[in-house]
Amino acid sequence: MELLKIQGLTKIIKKKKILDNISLTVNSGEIVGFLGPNGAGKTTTIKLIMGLFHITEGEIKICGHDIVTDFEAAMANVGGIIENPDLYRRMTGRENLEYFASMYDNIDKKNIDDIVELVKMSERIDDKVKTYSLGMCQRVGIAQALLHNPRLLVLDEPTNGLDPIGIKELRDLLKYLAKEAGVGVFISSHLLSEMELMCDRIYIIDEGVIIGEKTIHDNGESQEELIFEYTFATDDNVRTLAYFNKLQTNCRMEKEGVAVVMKRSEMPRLIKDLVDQGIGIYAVNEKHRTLEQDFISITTGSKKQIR
Amino acid sequence: MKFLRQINVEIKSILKSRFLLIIGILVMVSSVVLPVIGFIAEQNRNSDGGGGIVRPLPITGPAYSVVDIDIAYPEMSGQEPIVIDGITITADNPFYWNINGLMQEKDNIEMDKGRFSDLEVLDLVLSLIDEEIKYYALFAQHIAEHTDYRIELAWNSSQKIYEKFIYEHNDIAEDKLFEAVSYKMGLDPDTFKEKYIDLTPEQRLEALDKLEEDLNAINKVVADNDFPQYINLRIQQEEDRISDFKEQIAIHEEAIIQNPSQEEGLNAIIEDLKRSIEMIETITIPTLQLRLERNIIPGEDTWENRALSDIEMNRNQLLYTEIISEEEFNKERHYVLQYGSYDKYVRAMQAQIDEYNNAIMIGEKSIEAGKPDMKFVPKGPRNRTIEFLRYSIFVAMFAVLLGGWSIASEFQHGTIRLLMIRPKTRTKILMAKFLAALTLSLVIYMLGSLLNLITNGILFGFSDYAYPNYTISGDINFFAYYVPKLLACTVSIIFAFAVAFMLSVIIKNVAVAVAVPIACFIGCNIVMATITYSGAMNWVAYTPIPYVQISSFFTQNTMVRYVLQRGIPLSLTYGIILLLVLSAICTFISLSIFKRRDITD
Repeated sequence: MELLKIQGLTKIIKKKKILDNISLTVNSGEIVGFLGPNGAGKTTTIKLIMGLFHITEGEIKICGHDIVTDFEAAMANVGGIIENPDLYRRMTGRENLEYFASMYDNIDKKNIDDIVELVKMSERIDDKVKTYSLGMCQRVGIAQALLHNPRLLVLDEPTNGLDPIGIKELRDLLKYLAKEAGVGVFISSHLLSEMELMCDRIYIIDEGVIIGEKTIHDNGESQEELIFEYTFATDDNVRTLAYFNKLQTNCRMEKEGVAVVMKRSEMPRLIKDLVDQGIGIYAVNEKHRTLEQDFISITTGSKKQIR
Repeated sequence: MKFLRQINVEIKSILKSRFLLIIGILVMVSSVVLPVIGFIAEQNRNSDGGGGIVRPLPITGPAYSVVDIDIAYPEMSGQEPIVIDGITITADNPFYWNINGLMQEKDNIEMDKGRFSDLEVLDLVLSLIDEEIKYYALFAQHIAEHTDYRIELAWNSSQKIYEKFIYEHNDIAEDKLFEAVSYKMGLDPDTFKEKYIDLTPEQRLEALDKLEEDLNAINKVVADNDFPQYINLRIQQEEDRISDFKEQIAIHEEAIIQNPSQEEGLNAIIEDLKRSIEMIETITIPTLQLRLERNIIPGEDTWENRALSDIEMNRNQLLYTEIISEEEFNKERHYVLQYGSYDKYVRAMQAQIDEYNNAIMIGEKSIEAGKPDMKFVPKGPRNRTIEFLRYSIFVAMFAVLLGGWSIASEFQHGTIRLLMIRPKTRTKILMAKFLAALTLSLVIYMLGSLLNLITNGILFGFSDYAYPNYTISGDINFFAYYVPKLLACTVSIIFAFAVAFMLSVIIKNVAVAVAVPIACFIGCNIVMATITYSGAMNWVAYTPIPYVQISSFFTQNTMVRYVLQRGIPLSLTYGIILLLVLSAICTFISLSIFKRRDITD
């Protein structure tokens, strides 16, 4: 089920196109990453989803409710953090949560206690927010996003200020919510390794345009269709390289042997072919192409990476 | 219902700010603290001796005798009791300084013998002063209070002492007697001769008898403290004045026939005399009769006396107030300068006359009912409560603080982002915050005013609240008089708040949103102060400037009052409606900007 559906979203601020015709979806039980260099339009997109910005063109639907025409119903299904988790410093963490809770129907004290327990803030929740560290604010920020059991979570850089254990806990929490409760998570971050570890799918945005969409863990089913880098160690590397060149694939000579980028499903046929041609194969090494490499290789295409 | 709950949540959220909570409490507590301070200050003043000793200027006789001022004063600082004919007069006696002054005067005369042509004249003057001292000593013996009504008799009849002295010394040479007496009386020789010397012995005796009779009557009133007799004497005195004035009118009419060229000037004098007679006949004597009838003893510090003197004063004013014709008005340059146009002048004068009539009505009704209007109990709780309507401005400043803080602080702290992602429309969120802060201000205002009302009652007596106020349309209970004014003053608070709130939304900076309305408020006061002193600025009456402080329509000595007296047509109803409309416009602007805007820091 599509929890978030963005279609043809364009945002113009002061005559400048910040977002240009963006479309994306987040399904139930899915963690979707939103990746891009600074100033690419990540936060703008999230502000548009959460109703802080007005849409110039296009539409956003949350659980089928258009956020312009049916704002309250749309917002009732989404929780989130935008930029820093700025809480009311004059109040305690609990008072902040109670204040936000008052704007939803049917959130009682028990719900709040449970959420506080979940983000492991029970000990400090009755202290004033001004005494909190950034990480603690982040935890309360996550708590307020989860208060009303939203079906969609929209998180803007949620790992900011969290320690490694906190990051791990958040990752586990999000995975749990997605897999067990069917929550859809839309998460922006610049920590690529983080994204890789928790996302099912990522969108890459640059200069207000989505320039790529990657599926990361496909649980084996479609592994065959993935592209990997293979290194062939053979008794005749020169002939091997010539063979791959003839196939017009992306290949080069390396110290260990011939490196080639290939779809996995091609491999059995190629190996058989090489063997048939009398080339002895010592080993074929399959190398995972990381998200980071992809990300950099895609975004370096844009000239003004940092604006 | 949900919305009301939201307002409640917002109020609680405001009060979580320790700063605002403390200021709110201070604002509320001030309504109790201020009257208590006033009460304590008044107690202290009273224990200082209240009215204290009234120290009149020394009686120095004619101006030329004041050769050296230093002689007379320093020795007067001594306050030892004076003993005259076995009567001891202490320094707190109302006649002490008077008698003391006369004795100093005797000393001065003895030291400066060359002042008179003859030693015989000197002796005459000294014995005249002795007579005067004896006369005052008699009053001093019976009168101990400065407020005693009989004191007036002493001042009014001292002339009789001099006259009696003249009649009794008819054996002295005329010129010497004149020199001696004119030291005290200020006479011209012709009148002196005509009035006191050129008399047949019978006439002289008759006059002397009458004087003695009068003085005896006065002595009797003083000695017996006989109030009805006092009134009779006073009426007698006033009637004497009337016949005196009538004589003068006859003399002046005679003079017109002889000198027709001076008719205009003489006529003016006659007019004046006639008016004085009218004043005595229609105001002074009826008031005295009313005093007798209601046993209102003059001089005492009672509301009845205040009411009576207020009636008297306003009737006098009314007698001398007339609206001159347009032709005459244009001739009077300073009127034209002061009022600008004849229309405005007529309006101002008419308002003045209405005010006099109204004041007279209030005084009469109070006396008639035996229940004072609050006007005559100036330090009573009713007046204090009305004056405390100024409190609305204090609360308005607090409302400005709340309004300016409300939205701008959300932007400044970034909390607006977590707020706006809730399933509530922007209109609902903004209105909840608007109404929460406004409600809080108004609750503080109402509670503060209530606390003040009660505190005033406790400190100065609740009974005052039970007396009615008198208006043209009838008597009204004090609360019926007070509550509409209390509510009218909330308009100032609402307006100040709406402006600050709008700035808070537009500028997104707490300091600016709070400072600008306060600066504007001060600016309005400056404009008001300016138009108080320069006329002909009618247009100001149509701006919100005179109305920002609604309470100044109800409290004393405000610039609005002065401006009204200048004939600038301020209308309270118009002002209230204007402020409410402007508040609505400000709120509408806040709302439409807030709805349309992208939320950025």
